[in-house]
This record gives sequence, structure tokens and C-alpha cells, in this order.
Amino acid sequence: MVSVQYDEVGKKYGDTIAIEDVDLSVEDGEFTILLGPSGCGKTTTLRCLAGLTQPTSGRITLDGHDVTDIHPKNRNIAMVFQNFALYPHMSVRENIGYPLKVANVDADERRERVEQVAETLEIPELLDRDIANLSGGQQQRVALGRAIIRRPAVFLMDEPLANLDAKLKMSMRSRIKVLQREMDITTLYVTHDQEEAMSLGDKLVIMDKGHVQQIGAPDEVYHEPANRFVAGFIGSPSMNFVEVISEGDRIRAAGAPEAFDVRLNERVANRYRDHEEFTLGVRPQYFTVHTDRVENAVEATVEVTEPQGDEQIIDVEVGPDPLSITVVAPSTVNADRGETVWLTVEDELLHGFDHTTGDRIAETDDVERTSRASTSADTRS
Amino acid sequence: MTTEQDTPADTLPYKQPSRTEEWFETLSKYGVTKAIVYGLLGVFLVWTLFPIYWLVTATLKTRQTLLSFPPQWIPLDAQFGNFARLFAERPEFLTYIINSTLVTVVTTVLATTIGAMAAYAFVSFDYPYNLDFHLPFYILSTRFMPPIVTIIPLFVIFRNLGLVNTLQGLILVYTMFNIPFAVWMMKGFFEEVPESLVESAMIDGHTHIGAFFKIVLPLVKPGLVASAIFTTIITWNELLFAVILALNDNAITVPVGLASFVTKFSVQWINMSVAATIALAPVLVFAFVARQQLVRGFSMGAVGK
Amino acid sequence: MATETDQEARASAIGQLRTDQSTGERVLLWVDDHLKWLMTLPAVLILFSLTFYPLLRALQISTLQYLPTGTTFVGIENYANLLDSEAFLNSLVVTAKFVGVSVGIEFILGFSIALLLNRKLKLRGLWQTLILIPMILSPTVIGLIWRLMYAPNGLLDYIAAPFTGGANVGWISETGTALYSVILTDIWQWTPFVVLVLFAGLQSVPDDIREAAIMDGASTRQRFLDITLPYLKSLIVLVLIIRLVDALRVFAKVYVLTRGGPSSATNVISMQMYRTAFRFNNFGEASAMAVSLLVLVMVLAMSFMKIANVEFGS
Repeated sequence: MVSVQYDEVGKKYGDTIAIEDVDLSVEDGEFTILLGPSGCGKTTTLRCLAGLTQPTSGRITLDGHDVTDIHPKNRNIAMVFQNFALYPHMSVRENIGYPLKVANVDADERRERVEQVAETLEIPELLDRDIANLSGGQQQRVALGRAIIRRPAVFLMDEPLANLDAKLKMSMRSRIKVLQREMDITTLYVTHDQEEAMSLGDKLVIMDKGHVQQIGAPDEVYHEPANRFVAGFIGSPSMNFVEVISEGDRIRAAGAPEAFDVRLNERVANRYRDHEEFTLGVRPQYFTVHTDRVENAVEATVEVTEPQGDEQIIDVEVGPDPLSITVVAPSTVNADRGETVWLTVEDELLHGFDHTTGDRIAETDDVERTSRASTSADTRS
Repeated sequence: MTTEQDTPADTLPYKQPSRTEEWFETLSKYGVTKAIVYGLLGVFLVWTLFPIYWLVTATLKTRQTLLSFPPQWIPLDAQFGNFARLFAERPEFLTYIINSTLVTVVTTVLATTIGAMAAYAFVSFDYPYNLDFHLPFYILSTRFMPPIVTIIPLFVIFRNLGLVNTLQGLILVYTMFNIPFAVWMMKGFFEEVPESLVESAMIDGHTHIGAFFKIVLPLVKPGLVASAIFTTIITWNELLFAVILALNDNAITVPVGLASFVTKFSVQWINMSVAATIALAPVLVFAFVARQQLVRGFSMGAVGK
Repeated sequence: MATETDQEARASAIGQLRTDQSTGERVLLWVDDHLKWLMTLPAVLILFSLTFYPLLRALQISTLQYLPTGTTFVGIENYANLLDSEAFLNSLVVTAKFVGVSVGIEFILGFSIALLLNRKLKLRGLWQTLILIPMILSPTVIGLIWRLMYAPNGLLDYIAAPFTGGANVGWISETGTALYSVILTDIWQWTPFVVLVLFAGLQSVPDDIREAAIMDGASTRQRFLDITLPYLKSLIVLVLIIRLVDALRVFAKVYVLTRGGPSSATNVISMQMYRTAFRFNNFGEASAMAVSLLVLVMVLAMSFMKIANVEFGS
């Protein structure tokens, strides 16, 4: 078991920057998720550790030993690929046993360990089948088996669940989590699926455009996003962003100052005193929808509603030059297209982002609020 | 495999590379391996291309400079008159070129059309006894048959039908020759045309045959071009059948004419080089047009799609 | 709510569903109904009349004493004569040597070059196009090119001069070297083919499978043996079959370079067949050779495919 350290790692292809200044440390046995939209550099980051991509700058160390120039085959790192990358001409048994075969483990021990791994993954009956005759989920387990058989120092997974259907994804997800906990292997896992990331990771590394945007526990990145990108990327439906002007304890939308005009409680308002203009961020869940006029509310027209069972997603428009806002309301709220509703904001849960840098404006009560919010927080998909 | 306590090296989280591995890595790090590969590629290219260069430059030399010791690497005193002299001394060579061109063009049109139609039918229709699967395979298998096996009976049959020494006879044989290629190549292209396209064309008021010509064929144009070029090259180059079925100037094609420059007793070096260069020129043009498809054709569709 | 215009539109739409047909249309519809036979007919007809029928005739002629004056049935006498014919048996040996040596070297050389080039190199399109050229040249032209190279006092004599002391080698005129000179020409023409096809095969090995093997700790040699070779197996078999079959029927190259000489040193089977039929007018015996060659090719090709198939099935 080892810890992993990225030290200002960068990779350029000609003038194109794939990743830049990646600093990251993964503790021994930790399950770390690299999360971001496609093209954000998460896979490049993973491949640098695997050694399949040679970084153009920076160092990578395992337990303090520099491995940047070590050939990938000598790194004792196992990897699960998105398309499983099973060897098509080998049986399941040969696939799982291949890492031991190339390490010259003798046939008896190999057989024993393959069977042991197959037992763990509940696929002993598949051992003598051809790869071509396996379902996606079975192939996935074989790929996992091949990765864990030699008890690697680090375990890498590149979108291992992306090619499975929704139901299988759920069950494989919990299987991977249990496996990782049991084996206690330092794991780096790449995904673009935030739900998967939230449910699996000890630590999330959110990346965009080749840069690390935030590193933190799942709750942390959800409730204390470092910047506008993270805030918008994490959470579904996405956070609403409104350009606002702050006037004392009131904030008004820059584009619709008459229609969007909200009074904040004093403690929250104080945070934004120094910011004449900033970007307001409110998750759809933190609006409350009223069908009757209420105090300190924003009047809006319902554009479309999408029932989701217990709740519904409502897209509304505010003001003459309409500002679109998405809110989540219980399914008991009766709101049809064209009707008028009133939205109130839970001002303790809103965020402000700097107009130019996009960084979140400091909230002095970060810690206190987090603990309170996490009891009611809804990390639903 | 050693267990973790055995050697101090195992406290490292990675395996120490062996001496040879390190050596190879150092070599590739400084671009040495790459330089060697480029060097060998260069040697291979020179080996492959030099003989052709040698033939083409021979057309500009004289009988004396052609076989001089040491060789004249670059033709210094270019004899462009050699080209005119070929046609002056061997006027019949022009007839051979015309014959070859006629045979090649007609064969290409016939083989590509017939092959494409059959390929389309095999792809889109169901036949009894699984013929849509078996027939293309048998058609392809004729490609493995040595043509010399049928040449004696064909000669006998053609002699009875009066087809020996005619261009029609050659066209027939070459069409037969090229249909397997055309069918097999076009099959791959038709398989990529979605069935719903023809169905929707028929709903829009086309007949099936109309949809084939107006909708499907334009879509597989790259395949048609590839088959046509392939057929053209094969036909233009063919010697064996021509040598046997074309005995007089009515039907003699370029390859037969070329072979006649070389007799047991003497070789007309300069005329031969000029004629051979004229024969290879059109083929070279096609090579650059349809490189990928040619590899596909030679490997019978296995690569190069 | 059907308005007046709606109804009109509907009426005219129904009107287009015509039941009356012109003669031209009836012909087209008849063609459509029989399309699947009409489209395959020309191909099948030509292949049958110019391939399968002549094959049967070849079988028939091989049992005849075929003379300009008339024919007589002689049974298997032609085949029996072949076994006694020194020229024929010699042509078998020459062909076997030619096929074995040229295909063997083409494969080993071609595969090595393909492996060597299987990395990120520049100008890939260019070298692929350039090495394609020998494959598409007419064997006649190739024969002439190499005639020129092998000519007395020619280029190869000049290159060999330091070893021969200036004497002409007689590449294609000496019995000792003639066959190998023809083989060299074949290698020159077809090694690029092996390179191109196997290179394409190597490039088609998926990146993730190659990388998975690296991550599993396999060395370069292990990756080649365990991943690359099995992956390329069917392509290797195909390349070998194509080359074997084509080499077995080599004609034009020999015809232009040596005409089978000197004294039968390069007299491959098709050359012998050609001479028997069209120089000595012995169609019967030549047909017997043709049938034997066909059987040989079929057995070789099928056993090769068998080897490949059996292992794929397991």
C-alpha cells in the first residue's frame, strides 16, 4: 500500500495543454475520484501515474520514490480500462491470470489465485468461457479480476462503468466500493458522472481545462464549491446563476432589477457588502415555490414542468427580458405552464461568486453552515 | 515471484528495470532507435524505388551509356529522341497501346457494373439455400484458381467461336477475371448503406432498380472508383492470356508487345526501356489516386477499409 | 376538423394511388419483382461459362490424346506420363523452391519491416504510397526492369564487381543463379505487400489492449508473443495464402526474365504447362498438369485455412 504524490505535473502536446500544474496527494488506501467534463484532463492525469503518458513537467512519487521515469510495466500499478481491454483470444482464466504469467508465477499458484479472485468476484463458473461470450457486466468483473490478482500498489480505473447499462452500473458501483475497502488499495478513479463520483469517493478532484479546480470530500465540493465551475458542475439540476447588483441588504438581478429583487438577512448580506456586482448561485432545491403571493419573493412565470415522481423540476422565467431559473419543488405544488408563481430563496444556502475570477466569495460561517446543511442536503441525481 | 520480505528492492513500490531495459530506454530517450528506424526505412525505400528509377532514366540514355562501367547514375546527355525513335522503329507499338486501352476501358466498365450489381443483390436479398452467403464465397474462391488451369480449354473454346485474336475475346476473359474482385470489394461498401435508405426511396415513389441507380450507387462511388482502378490495373498489366489469345496485331496488347522486345537472342534495350516506361506511367498515376483501396484489393478486403 | 382544402388534398392523394399502368411501368415493375435474379445473372453466367465450364473441359481434355488431326480418349494416361516426365517433375521442384524461398523471405522480411515501422513515424502516407508501386506494376514491366538490372555489364554486375573481380555474374544466364535472380525479383515486388498488410494489422491492435498488457507487467517480447501474434494470426494466414497461391502460378516474370531457362533452371510449372501446350501442342498432357496444379493449390489453401479456423473455433 502506498501514497501517491503529484508535484506540479503538466503535459503538453505541442502547444496544446492537456494538464498543467497538477498538485495532488492521495493517502494510502484512499479512494480518489478524478471528476470533470470530457477533455478536462482527468484521463491524462491518470495515465501519467500509470506511465502510459509521459508528463512534460513535474514529478510523480509513490511513497516518496520518484517513478516519473519508470517504465509502466515496472510500476506495479493495475488499471481497468473503459472498454475493459480484455485479451480477445484468451479465456477468462487466462485473462485474469495473465499478470501472474508474465511475472513467472508457477502454474499451480497461478491457478489457485485465479480461482480465489474468481470467488471474490463471484464468477468461478465463467473461468473457462471465451471473452466473446460474456455480457458487459461479466467482462467488467474479469477486468477487475485481472487488476486485483497481483495485489497492486495502486489501482487505476478509467471510466470503468461507462459502458454498462444503468442498473448494472448501480450494482457494480457498490461492488467496486466494497472491493476497494476490503483490499485497502490506494485507488484513483476517473469518471464524468458526478453521481458515481459522489457515491464512491473519499476524495473528489474536480478538473476543468487541464487544471484542478477543487479537491475535497463529496460534501465539501457540493456545499462549499471553490468556484463557479465546481458549483455549476456538481449537483443536478445545475445551480442557477444570476448576475446581481448588491444594494445594502438587497440584491437585484442586473438584467431585471425590478423583477428580481430580494432582501437578504443581515448576516448573509454582510458577506457581499464589498461586492457591488457579483454572480449569485442558488441550487434549484434551495428555492421555495409558492402559488400565492408572499413577502420578499420573486414573481415568475412557469415555462415547463417535468414531474420526477416525488418532486418536479420547474423551469420559470422572471422579468420582461426573461431570466430563466430552474427550481425543484414537491410534486404537490400545482403549477402549470403559463401560471404565475412566487419564489423565495433560502438565503443561508446561497453562494456568491466573484464577477471576474469566478471564485466563491468567502462565507465566514462555512463550517457551521455545512454541518447544518448536510442534514437536509439532497445530493439526488 | 519473490515475496515482499525477500529482497530490499521489494520495499520499493516498483520493480527495478533490468540492465538491458535501461539500456534500451536510454537509446530511445535520445532518439537513437527512431533514427535507426528512419534509416532502415530509407534503405527499404531506396531498394524499392531505385530499380524503377533505373528503368525510367534508361529512356534518356544511349546504348553505350546504359550499360557502361561504372554506371551513369544520372543521365547527363538526355536523349529525348528515344521516345520518337520507338514509334519510328516499332510503329505497331501504337496499335498495341490502342488495343490495350480499348480492352482496359471496356473491361473496367463491364466488370465494375456486373460486379456491383451482383454484390448489391447478395447484400440486399435473401436467396434460397443460403445462396446469398455461399455464392459470393465461391465467386471469391475463383480468385485462388490459377488462371493457367482454364487457359487450354478457353483457347480451344475461343478458337471454335472465332474469338482468338480478337479484342472481344480478351475483354470477355478479363471481365471474368475481374468480377470476383469487384463483387468482393463492392460488397463491403454496400453493406454500409442502410437498408432503410432504399426502403424510403421506394416509399417516395422510386422503383427498386431506380433507387439502386439513383440513390445507392452515388453513395458507393468511392467503392466504384476503387474497383474500377483495380480492374484497370489488373487488365492493363495482364500477360498470360494475352500471350495465348492474341497472336497478331489485331489484338496484341502492351504487355505482349513489351515481352517481344526481349528475345532469346537479343534485347533492344533502349526501345524496351521506353516502351516499359510508357506502360508503367498510367499505373503510377492510379497508385497515387487510390492507395488505400489498392491495399484493400490486394488483401481481398482484409485491411484498408 | 376537416376543412374543405383538407378533403381536397386527401382526395388527390388517394388519386395518386393509381392502378392503371403504362407498358414502361409494367416492365419496370416486372424488373423489380425479379431483381434479385436479374442482378446476379450476368456475373453468375460469365463466371460459369468462363470458369466452371472450362474447368470441366480441362478435366475432359486431360483424358484425351489431343491432336490437330483429332482426339482419342486415353483415360489417365496423360497423368501417368506426368509421373515419368522428367521435365514435369523438375518443374515441380523448381516451383517448390521458388515458392518456398520467395514467400518465406517475403514474409520474414515484410513482417520485420512492419514491426519496425509500427511506431509513431512521420510521412506514413508517403512511404505507404511509395512502397505500393512494385505491387501494381505489370509483371512484364518488372521482368524488363530486372532484365536491365541483371544485364551483362549492368548495374548489379557493377555492384558485385568488388566480390567477383569484375567478371560478369550472368545472373539470369547461369543455371546456378538464374532461379535465385527470379526469386529476388519476386521478393522485390511482394515484400511491400506483406509490409502494408501486416502494418495495417499491427495498427489495428487496439491501444487499450496493448496498454493493458503493459500495465499487467508484460515485457516487449511477452507482448509480442501473447498479444500481437495471436491478434494478427488470421491476417498472417491470409497473407501467406495469397502469396502462396500467387507464387504457385508465377508466369509473366519468368516468361520475360528467362523463358524457363537456362536449361530448365527456372522452368516453373506454369512455364512447363505453357510450353507443353503451345510449343509442343500437347494439350492433353498440359491439361493434366493444369488439373494437378489446381488440386495442389486447393489442398494448400484449404489446409492453411483449416489450421487457422480450427484454432479460431477453440
